[in-house]
Amino acid sequence: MSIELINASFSYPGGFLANENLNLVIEPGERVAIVGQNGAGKTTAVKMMNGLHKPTAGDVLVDGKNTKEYTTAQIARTVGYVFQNPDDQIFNQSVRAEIEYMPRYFKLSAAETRRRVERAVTLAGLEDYMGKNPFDIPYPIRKFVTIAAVLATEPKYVIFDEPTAGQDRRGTQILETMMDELQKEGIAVVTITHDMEFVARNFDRVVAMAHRNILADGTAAEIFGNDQVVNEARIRRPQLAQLALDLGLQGILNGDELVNALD
Amino acid sequence: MYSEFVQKFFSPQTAGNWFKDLNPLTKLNLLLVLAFTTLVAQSIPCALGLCLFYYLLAILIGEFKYFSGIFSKLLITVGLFMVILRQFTVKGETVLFDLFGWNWTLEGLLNGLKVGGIILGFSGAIILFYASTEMRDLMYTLEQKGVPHTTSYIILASFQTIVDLKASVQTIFESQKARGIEVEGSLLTRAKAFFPVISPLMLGAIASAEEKSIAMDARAFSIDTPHTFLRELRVVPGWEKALNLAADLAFVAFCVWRLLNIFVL
Amino acid sequence: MSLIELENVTYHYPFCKEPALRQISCTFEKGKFYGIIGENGGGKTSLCNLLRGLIPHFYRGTLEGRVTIDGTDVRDWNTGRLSARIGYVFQNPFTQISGIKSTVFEEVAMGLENLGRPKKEIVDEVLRVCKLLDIENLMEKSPNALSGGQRQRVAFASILAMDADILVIDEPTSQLDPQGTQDVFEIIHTLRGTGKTILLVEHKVDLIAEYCDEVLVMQGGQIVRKGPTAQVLADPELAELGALQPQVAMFGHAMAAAGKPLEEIPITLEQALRLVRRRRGEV
Repeated sequence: MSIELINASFSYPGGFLANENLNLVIEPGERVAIVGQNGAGKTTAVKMMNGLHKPTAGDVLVDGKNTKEYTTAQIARTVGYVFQNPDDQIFNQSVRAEIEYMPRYFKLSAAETRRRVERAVTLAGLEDYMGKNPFDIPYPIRKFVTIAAVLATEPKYVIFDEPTAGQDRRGTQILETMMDELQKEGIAVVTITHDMEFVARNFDRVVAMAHRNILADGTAAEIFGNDQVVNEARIRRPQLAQLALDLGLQGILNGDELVNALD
Repeated sequence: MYSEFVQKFFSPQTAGNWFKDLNPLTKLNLLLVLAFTTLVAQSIPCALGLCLFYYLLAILIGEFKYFSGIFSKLLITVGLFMVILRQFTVKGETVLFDLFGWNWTLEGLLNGLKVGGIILGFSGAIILFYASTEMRDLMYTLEQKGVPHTTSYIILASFQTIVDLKASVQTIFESQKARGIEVEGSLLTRAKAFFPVISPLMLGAIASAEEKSIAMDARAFSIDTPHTFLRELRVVPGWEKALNLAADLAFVAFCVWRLLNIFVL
Repeated sequence: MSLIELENVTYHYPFCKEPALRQISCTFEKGKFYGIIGENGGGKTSLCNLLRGLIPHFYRGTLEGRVTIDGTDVRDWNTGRLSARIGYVFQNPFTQISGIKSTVFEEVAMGLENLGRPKKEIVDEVLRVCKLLDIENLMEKSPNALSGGQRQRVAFASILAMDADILVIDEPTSQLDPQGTQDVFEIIHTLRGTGKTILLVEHKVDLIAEYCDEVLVMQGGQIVRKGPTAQVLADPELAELGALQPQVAMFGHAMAAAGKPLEEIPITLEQALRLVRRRRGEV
């Protein structure tokens, strides 16, 4: 049971090649960050995982099912995807209605719907906003509404696209706590992000992409410690990791490690 | 000193074609005169001649492919549609042939062609106008005549907005599919997906419009002093004014002649 | 010399019980580069809206207190004329492109067209700004075909062309990828040398630490800290005030807590490097 990209390539209808021969496996309960500059193919790769894009060569299997044989909406029950802009998704009058929509759409019982909604709301920290119109709450908090709405569908794998963009400390903390909870429940989290500090703090596994390919797939320490990967993927190291390297210290990712390494 | 691109702003904008370089309002005037002539003439040979003239003009302005692509399709669909429609609505006597158990009459055919001809006369004029004139040039001339700058902006921006909306729909479609909302399949399924797509689209469009007006305000849009135009058109030459007048007078004369024909005969 | 003065300013958006700005008093001086940080909903954008005249002219609501820009109360300013004095760049690179101009050159020229400047002046000014912001290679392209970072550069150019003395920049990198963010960082660097009065709202404290003379921290509609950058960003209470501290500053505090203090709390990477090397006796 996993998401598998097997020699998967994707070209747009016009012929533009966005992903070339990707091989990647996401196991249940894993936390993976996908990094790389825009144009590297991160978004198209991730869209192959939930069936939004069907591979034009190779295959993508979700829990053994080939994505080419199912509609996106069908695969979405297993692989949830939270888009970057919540305003592309929200259409209900209240936060509660927005989160309840999918359980209702799936025709679940009232009790089950209630349970799912409560869980999603707790994870997303939206207790104070339930009755409000999503457009009356600030944009960064609206992002949590779409996260909760996707969590209410209880997928086994969740993909986040730039969840920390525009978030302040509190927002980022809610996200981090949420990801910990999801991992405890055995739900895999895949995140596309440019926030390297966020990556270093929260992700054991990092996949660096560049020029339509996967450049490297390893631990955060391995990726950030590799000059060639950092340059080719055009990513920036977390500030303290960079400081450590400038001081000649290897394998340091965060402040605690750095303080301990210095005398 | 300046590059060719920049230097061009210092002289009136030209398209290199005598017809295209006419003032937008002149082109509008001439084309509408032709279109209204078919309406007044109510004659099939007139309409046919005009359609041929449109094709000729399209060649002269170098837009044959664009014009023909749209107009030819229109010609066939409108022509066929009007002819068939009129068969049902016009009571004729001279039966031409029997098809599908219905008598196809000459009167019906002629009527259909006549009405079809009028519709095509107008459509052709509008398509040719669009093919020979840039919207921003039209807005420029209207502003010279006193249309407010904000109105001109709204009209021009809506063209780009339509393009942007198309891209938005695509993204919204994808994000709703990714939630588990089916958008492909039966009519009922698609109907259920309508509101989840339209609502974010409209709200997004309104929010963008609000932000855009703030952005445009930052460009001194609402200031009360007169404007400069970087892109200008040539001052309308005397002969063009004369051409406009002549066309309008000829049209009026034609109308009078037609009226006399109808009421005197 | 005070360019902008706020005295006991309180503002409620229409139909809102809670004020977005609460009893704010402060001054902004000519030629200084101010950074504004703080949690979402803390009042940063409302402050920007106020300085741009959007409050009260666009957003209505109830405004109490005095706001003077260049000696005139904001309520008496015509927003068109104010935009010639205060330039405004904000987050969304897509809505800052007019959508009616077919080349970047004309897009940048638009503000000057509206101001009624003579054509030659417009052309020269646009060329100057495009050179300054390194977008000469984009001048003949359509603004609607550009990436987010490129559009943001064009937005900056369009505002700079109007040559306002004061610039209000509201989270310009929020919606950009690292390349786009880098583009904006470079523009900010260029702006630093122009002597303009700049107010930059950002979550990315690295940017603030690098360029700002003074930093304001806003929380709950109030200014909870205002002072020189090094002082404010090194403040250990910054997290409680809802703002992000530079990673190197947190590191500085951690070193002190571990009994290995540095000479001062660093706020930039270069500074941290220098201080650690000094501590190790390498310099």
